[in-house]
Amino acid sequence: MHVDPAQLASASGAKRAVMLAHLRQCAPCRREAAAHDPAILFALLAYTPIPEPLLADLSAEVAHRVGRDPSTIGVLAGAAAWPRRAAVAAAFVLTLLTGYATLKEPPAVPPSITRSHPRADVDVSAGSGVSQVIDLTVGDTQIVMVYNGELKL
Amino acid sequence: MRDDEDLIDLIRAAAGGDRRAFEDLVLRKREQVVRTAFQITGNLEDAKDVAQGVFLRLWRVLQRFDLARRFDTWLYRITVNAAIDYVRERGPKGILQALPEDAGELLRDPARGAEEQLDLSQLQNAFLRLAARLAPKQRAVFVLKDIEGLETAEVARALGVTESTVRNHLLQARRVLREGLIRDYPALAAGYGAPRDEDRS
Repeated sequence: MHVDPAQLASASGAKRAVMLAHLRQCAPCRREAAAHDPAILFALLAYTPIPEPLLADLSAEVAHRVGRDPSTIGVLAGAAAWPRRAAVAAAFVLTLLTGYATLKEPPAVPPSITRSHPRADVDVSAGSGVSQVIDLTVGDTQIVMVYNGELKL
Repeated sequence: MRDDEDLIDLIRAAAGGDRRAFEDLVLRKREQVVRTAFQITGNLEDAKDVAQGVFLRLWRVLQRFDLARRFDTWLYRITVNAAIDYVRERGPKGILQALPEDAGELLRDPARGAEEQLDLSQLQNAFLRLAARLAPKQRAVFVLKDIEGLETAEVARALGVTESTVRNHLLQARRVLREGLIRDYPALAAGYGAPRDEDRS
């Protein structure tokens, strides 16, 4: 079997692996592939060896870092993650309630009731007889109470 | 295309927090990740750093992986993005690092004469020098399609681009590499071994 360079350029998967394995060993096929397109030869870099000590070092470092990463336990636990999610949700709701209670306006303080002077536009002495006048101001509202037994409204 | 059942079981266990399963997954995929990162960064130590970051990220996001998809495509995507980011942050310094001395031995056939041999370490170093002229996405497309052997659609998914973009990048990358090989490495371009880089005039 010899490798068709045009097919190798478009092949993938197992078929490509077989063609590459042959190209690796067969100098005439490599020359034919190079004559078709020299860049095809770079496909052989799939065999580039990675030094085993480097790979072993990588595995050890990743295992060490993952082992020191407790934050991921539970987060990765799929279905077992619901208690954590519930705890987070409860904390969130509690934070909202606390914030609401802290930030909401304090209850309105009833305005103080004070006596004030009679208003100038109320003529309380218009009637005959004795009048009693009580002038109260509640907030912005002024209340004038007049008692006169002879007053007719 | 779905992954084989063994790999799916391993992914499911690792995503559930099983560290032993995750270590097995690293063992199974580490060479692919380092090799891909190496072809993009051009430096083995940098490739190891990239691979470490890729696997730590994988540990954190594995639960998001959709088992109906192909794991390798997802892993290539993480790897290529991490390698391109690494190169951008690192800058142009220290790009090239030759393979170990015995790398070329893997392709040697003792039954054939020296002129029949193709020295893999020379081919690798030629690629690293020539690929430095490619844009990051062009280089990534070439690595995934012509070295790792992914299909065009998979490369497109891994890089988040259209298949048409993949084909365009691939055409340009092949042209740059072909012209560079013929100009700078004529013996390699003819399919033979070549004098070592330091012997070239």
